[in-house]
Amino acid sequence: MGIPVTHGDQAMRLEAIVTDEATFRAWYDAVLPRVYRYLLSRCGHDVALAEELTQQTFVEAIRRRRQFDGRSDAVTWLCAIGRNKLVDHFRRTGRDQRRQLRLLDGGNDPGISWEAAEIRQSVETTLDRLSAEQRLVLVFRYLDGLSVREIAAAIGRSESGTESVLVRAREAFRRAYGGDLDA
Amino acid sequence: MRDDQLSRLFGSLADASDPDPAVADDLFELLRLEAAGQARPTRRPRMVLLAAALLVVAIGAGAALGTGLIKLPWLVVEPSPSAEPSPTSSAEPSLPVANDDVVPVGSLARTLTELPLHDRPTMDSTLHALVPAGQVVYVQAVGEFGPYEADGTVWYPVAWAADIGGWPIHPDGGFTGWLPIARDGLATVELLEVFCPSAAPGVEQLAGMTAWARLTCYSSGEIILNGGWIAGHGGIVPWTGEPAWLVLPSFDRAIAPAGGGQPFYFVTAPDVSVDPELVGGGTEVRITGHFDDPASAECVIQAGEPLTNQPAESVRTYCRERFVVTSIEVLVAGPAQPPMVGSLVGTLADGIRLREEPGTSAPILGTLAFGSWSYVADGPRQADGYTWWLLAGLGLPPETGCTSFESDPYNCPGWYGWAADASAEGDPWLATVSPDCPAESGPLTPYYGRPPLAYLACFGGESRTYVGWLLAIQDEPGGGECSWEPLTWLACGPAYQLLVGPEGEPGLALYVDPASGVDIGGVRGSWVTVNGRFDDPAAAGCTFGPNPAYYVLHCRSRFVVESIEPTTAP
Repeated sequence: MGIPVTHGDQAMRLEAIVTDEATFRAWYDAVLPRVYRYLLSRCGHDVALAEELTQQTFVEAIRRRRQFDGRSDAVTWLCAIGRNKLVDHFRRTGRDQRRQLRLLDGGNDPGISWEAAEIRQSVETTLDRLSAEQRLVLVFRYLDGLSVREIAAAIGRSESGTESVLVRAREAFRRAYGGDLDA
Repeated sequence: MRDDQLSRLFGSLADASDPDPAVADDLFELLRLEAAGQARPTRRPRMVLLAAALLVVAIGAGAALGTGLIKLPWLVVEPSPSAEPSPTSSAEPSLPVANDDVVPVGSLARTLTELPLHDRPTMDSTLHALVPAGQVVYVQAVGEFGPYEADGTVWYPVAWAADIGGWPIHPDGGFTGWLPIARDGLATVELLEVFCPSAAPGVEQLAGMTAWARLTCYSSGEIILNGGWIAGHGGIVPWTGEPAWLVLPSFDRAIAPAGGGQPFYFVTAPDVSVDPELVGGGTEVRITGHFDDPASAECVIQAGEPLTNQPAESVRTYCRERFVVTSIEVLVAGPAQPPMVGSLVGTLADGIRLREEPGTSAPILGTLAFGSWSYVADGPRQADGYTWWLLAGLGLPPETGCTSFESDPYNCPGWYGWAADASAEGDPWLATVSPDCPAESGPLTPYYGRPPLAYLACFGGESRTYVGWLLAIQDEPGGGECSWEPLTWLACGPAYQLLVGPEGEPGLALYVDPASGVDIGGVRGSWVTVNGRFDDPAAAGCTFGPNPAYYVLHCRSRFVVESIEPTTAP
């Protein structure tokens, strides 16, 4: 469940919320961590990138605030904008990332267990070997739980084309999850 | 791997971290100003800096061409923002007066207001869609060309799909039809100018363009591409149709740009044979082909297929966007040669580990993806049954915003470590690749888009002479943030001391030893002939930072000017 745009118990339009700074700040403080975590989890835990995409997301949301009438969930709406920003980003940078070295993160995250951190590291390392589009569709499918139709809308492909990408992405992930080619 | 297993694995990616409070405060201030209509950027994230760097170069390039236009490669130029109505405005925007220009087939245009897309050039015909303001449409032929005028309205046939730049075969998402591009003497769309990167684009440039931009820029003109033939990734063909060689998506024919990167997929004409033994393994090819093949006119999707309800013109447009290869010339047949110091190598497999030192017990720095190109800085060393080579990422050309001292895993390939060249069983992991070195000195065009270490692999320390336009922007070496005395001029380098090509392509960064007596200031903003060399002996002094050998290598990749003089435009 996301956080609805509320003031008291009354759903409000975002247009009205931003007119009062205290209300705006309270709303912002409530939704910002949810949106930030959503993006952080989907961009390889790159804090700088997550901050940049969060900024782009909120700026666009404020610019389009008249389109949000408060009847749906604000975080859902913001995350949909953020998802588009993610797609844009990976389309923009995918060709460079493909050939680049992934620097391994040697740090520990005190918030999760060693075992969970190891799984996360393995999943991220594996995802990094896939194409940007394959990474996106897998994350949208298995972390966001989006339907094929919803993913197709997000990445601008047909449903059958998206299903094809998903099949290839699953297979590539399965192959790569075994480990590095090493010496 | 089952779906539930994948869901559990991906669940590990969830992150409960909070944003940095200072960043949150900065962003709120920005939003508060945005809401009040007074927004000013409070931070300068990486992409903004990169965009600024591109803009500076583009301004210089525009000045060089004398056009006064700011054009970025393969981006659609945004016309005056004042012409764009607010998408949320309920009132009809004020539209510019239409001129009498005929809109050529292949143009891109942006809608200035919501417009109806009709089956025929009349309001009485079937309405396919309402195209919102701000959408890009592609002017094409649908058996007829525009304009068609009726009842004070000028109609053109267009293709449109929401928010995308290429034509998908898509059951519900794309439309073709007739669009009113002017009514009652007022324009309802504005033509978008597409800046084509070069008359002879490279693989990386084509891969980075939208399908529409490729078609607009090159139409059916012949294009020659050099690169590595890479194995495709397989795939499920989502439809069948005729001619099969053109209408089916290409999963197994792709060429990789020099230096690695996003592959560019193509199809082969029916009379072109493909030897599967050539695919991958370091084979380098030269392919010749074109977009907008005449056979596109015959493209159809098989009756009875799920996507058979595509508008016929959509399928034809999709086919026109395919790059049809008519000849393949093998330049270097695989298997490729083993690495050599001073040459470039490419990885033949995914996940090649890079270590701090030769040996399987040395710390792992990271992994290299399939198709990554590196400069071989040292080796071979034998350790733990493997042969090891010291590999350096090639870096990116100067207009990308990367510097040699930046190691940014997202934007600047700056790795430096040891990798084994083959598995214990002898399967090759690394192979020498050719950077396709331009043979002659002269105009800079062949140099556009090349990474610095590719120059070093090509020319070593031989004397070179180039002709280009020297940007007029004044610049201090290092820009104040970098100081490596006494070699600041070579180690830090100038940001905008660029020699650009005849079409404005940023080609080469120039480095000038202040002790050499070379005066570059007097010839800024003019065509120049420059003589100099890579691998300047002074680079041996670049022993900076925690990894001195890395910086020496990057100093060696600089082009150091020995003489420069004005010349006439080529």
